[in-house]
Amino acid sequence: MSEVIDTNPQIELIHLQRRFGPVMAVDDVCFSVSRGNVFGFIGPNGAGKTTSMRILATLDLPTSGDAFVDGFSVTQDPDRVRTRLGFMPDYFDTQPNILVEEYLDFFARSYGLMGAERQRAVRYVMSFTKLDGLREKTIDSLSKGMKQRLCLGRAMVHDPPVMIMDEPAAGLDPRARIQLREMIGQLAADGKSILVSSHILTELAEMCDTVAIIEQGKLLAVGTVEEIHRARQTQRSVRVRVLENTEGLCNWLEARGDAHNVQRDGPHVTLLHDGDQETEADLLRDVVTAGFRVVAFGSHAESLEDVFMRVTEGLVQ
Amino acid sequence: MSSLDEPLAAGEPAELADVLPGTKWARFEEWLGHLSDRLNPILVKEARQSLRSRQFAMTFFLMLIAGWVWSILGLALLGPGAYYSAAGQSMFFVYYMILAAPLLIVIPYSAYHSLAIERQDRTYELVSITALDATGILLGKLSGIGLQMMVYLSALFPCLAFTYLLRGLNLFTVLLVVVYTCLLSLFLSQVGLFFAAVAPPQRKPIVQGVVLAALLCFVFFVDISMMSAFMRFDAVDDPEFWEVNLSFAVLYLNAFAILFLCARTQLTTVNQNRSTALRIALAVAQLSAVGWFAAAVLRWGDRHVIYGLIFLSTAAWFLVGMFIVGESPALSPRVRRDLPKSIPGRIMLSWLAPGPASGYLFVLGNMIMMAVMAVVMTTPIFEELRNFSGASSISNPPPSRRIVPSGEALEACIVAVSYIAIYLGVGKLILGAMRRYDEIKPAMRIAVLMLLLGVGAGAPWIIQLSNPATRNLGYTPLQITNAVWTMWEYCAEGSRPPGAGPVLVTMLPIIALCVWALNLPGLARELRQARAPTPPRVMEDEAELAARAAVSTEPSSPWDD
Repeated sequence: MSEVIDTNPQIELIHLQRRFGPVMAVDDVCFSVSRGNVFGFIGPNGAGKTTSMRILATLDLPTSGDAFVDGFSVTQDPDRVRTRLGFMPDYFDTQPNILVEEYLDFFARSYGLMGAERQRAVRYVMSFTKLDGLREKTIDSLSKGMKQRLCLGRAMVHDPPVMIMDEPAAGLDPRARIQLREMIGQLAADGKSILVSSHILTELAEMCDTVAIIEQGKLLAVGTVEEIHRARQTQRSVRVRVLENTEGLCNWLEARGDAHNVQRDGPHVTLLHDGDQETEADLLRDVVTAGFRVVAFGSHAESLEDVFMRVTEGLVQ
Repeated sequence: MSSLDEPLAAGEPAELADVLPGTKWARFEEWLGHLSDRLNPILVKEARQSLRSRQFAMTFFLMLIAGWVWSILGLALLGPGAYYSAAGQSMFFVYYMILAAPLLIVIPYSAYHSLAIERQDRTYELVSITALDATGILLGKLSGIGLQMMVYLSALFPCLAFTYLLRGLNLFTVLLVVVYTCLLSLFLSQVGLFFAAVAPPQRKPIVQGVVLAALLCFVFFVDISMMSAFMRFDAVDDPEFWEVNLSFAVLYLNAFAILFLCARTQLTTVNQNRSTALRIALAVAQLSAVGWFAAAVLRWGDRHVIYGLIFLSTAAWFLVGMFIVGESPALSPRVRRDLPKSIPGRIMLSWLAPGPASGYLFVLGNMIMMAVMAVVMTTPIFEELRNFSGASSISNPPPSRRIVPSGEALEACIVAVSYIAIYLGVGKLILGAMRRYDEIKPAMRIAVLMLLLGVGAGAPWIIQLSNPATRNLGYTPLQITNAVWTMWEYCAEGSRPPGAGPVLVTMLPIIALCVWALNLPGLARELRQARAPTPPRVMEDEAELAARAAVSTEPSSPWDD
């Protein structure tokens, strides 16, 4: 298992374990998140993402191991962790008869903000999450996207250096998702460390500096998408398009012996090879020399989804 | 964040203080703002929510309407008699019923419902991860209840004031009835919060809700009948009335504190110290009980109440012990950080630290303290004290109730302490063995201890009943393990069980000592847990906070100027 070494991490999980009866929901998970980084947490349902996040948010206790937020242990100093952490869970608050502004004001008070400081915090958060126009609305009348923004506002009202977001983009329409992504980017630019989980991997790929893939409670990979890709990939994929004689190209490639899994995909031919970029350059030269009229030739870059599918096995507990 | 310095957006409400700088109104607003900062956030939130809540509005207006309808109807029924007949009591009684329904049923149930629902839909979780701890949340809920009470009272205040103008009722009685009802409402609300705290989170607590509703209705009807009697009973000038009030006040405070701390314990995570405060409250309650029983002996001279003290204390400590001996023996580093530093401190205070063995010691310590005091109350010194205080000239019970031989009281105490040591000690050993396989939940602790007590009481009873020769003998030495029957013989019958006294006072203490000895290794393991050092990051943070407090003008966060 790979570990990310950071000398001054804002979030740190050290051999974290959480057992529910016979089920090991989180099994020896270690990683860290630096200041100003967005860290993506990926895994199938029941992989242990929410459990790890709840432990970090001081809502649950690990069976063994520990987690640290800004250097404070979540098991030993939960009170100090709470003032430094904003948690956005995967469920909404359902408090009745409370207005958006009052709701944020309540949480600002609960975090100990007073007087003008509190008023400014509420005003800023409403402006940041674009909830200014909804201040007089009750929270149960908000749409899902608005509630999600309110959740974000609640989590950041005390200006925590660390934010944890569990499936923040779930169920949001494309516009709301883009807005949320922009807000997360802005928060990271402000120096906050953000741990975010999502099923929408394209979203994560765009906003995260680092990702961790977890399955059955075990951390399978940690690093940038490119790092994981490099570490896991043994074969590279190439996609070629020729003007005519696609069938001939397939036969020619199969006869070469260094190309595997040659497949015809409409006007394209895809193949896998064991080499690097130089091998691909040689291949292109040989294809052209062999008389095929090449229109397009490119190595296929793996997306986060490809990496996820490759790393995980689809196992659930 | 730089955007904090931006001016207010168009249409945004500006602060009144900015609009009217320097005016009295602005200064008053500013003062109110400062006051509101000091209020519990839960109180502020719940006050805002209540004002928009349909349930609150309906209750308030129903009370208002009922009050006015009764005012008109009552006066119409009284007619000219309102000027000369003693109609105040009957008018007040109906107003009281109108007031008691929301205070004794609606408010406590809504307190329960509010916390139970918040725990069920996980709203509570979001509040629990703020700077508010379980104590703050519970105090906020109780403050909200106080505020609701004030509002409901204000609805009926004109009506209550009106009854004072009628004949047959004095202002003091009205005030006392209202104060009693408010205190009872607050207590029942605390009971509701306790029910909500012990309900399993994220599940609809139907059973607790039904039990609480039934309890509240029962208390409402009992309260109505008691208050009806109280209004006719003019006891304000009787010193005994105030003594009883004082004893109830002490009982109230103790019970309230214990319920509050139990609820707090349930809402606090296991890595925090959930025991020490509760143990202190329990010890204070035991001391208060001993004090009041001693006062009762001094005041009325009836020494048989000592048996009541022994029986009640034994039952209470068994109940408390069921939970205490099931605690986890492993102290979290956070709890160990606050353990006493010095060796004398650890010796003297370790029985207050969390853990089953220290808890076992704590329960036994309290039982022994109670036993010593109970025996002292049977000695001639106490009779002399009574004569000295002059109480003997006021009231004297029949001679049969004035004397309890010290020997018999001592026997009852030895038996009581031994039973507690045996049952809790064995229960602790069983729970300790079970803990190796799984976590011990409170329900499991109750089940194990009750099963143990049931077997101890039931087995000899069945054996005796199944034998025709012993069936009709009553209490026999065979019942030595039957703690319930034995204690009943001592305390309710007021004498040692026939033919079993010597067996009980020799065998039980020996068994108790053996069980206690078996528990000693566990106690030693708990005492060996050393104080954990404060992590450097925490010390660094403490220093930062201290420096920040010293320079109060420095901005405390990016939101500050």
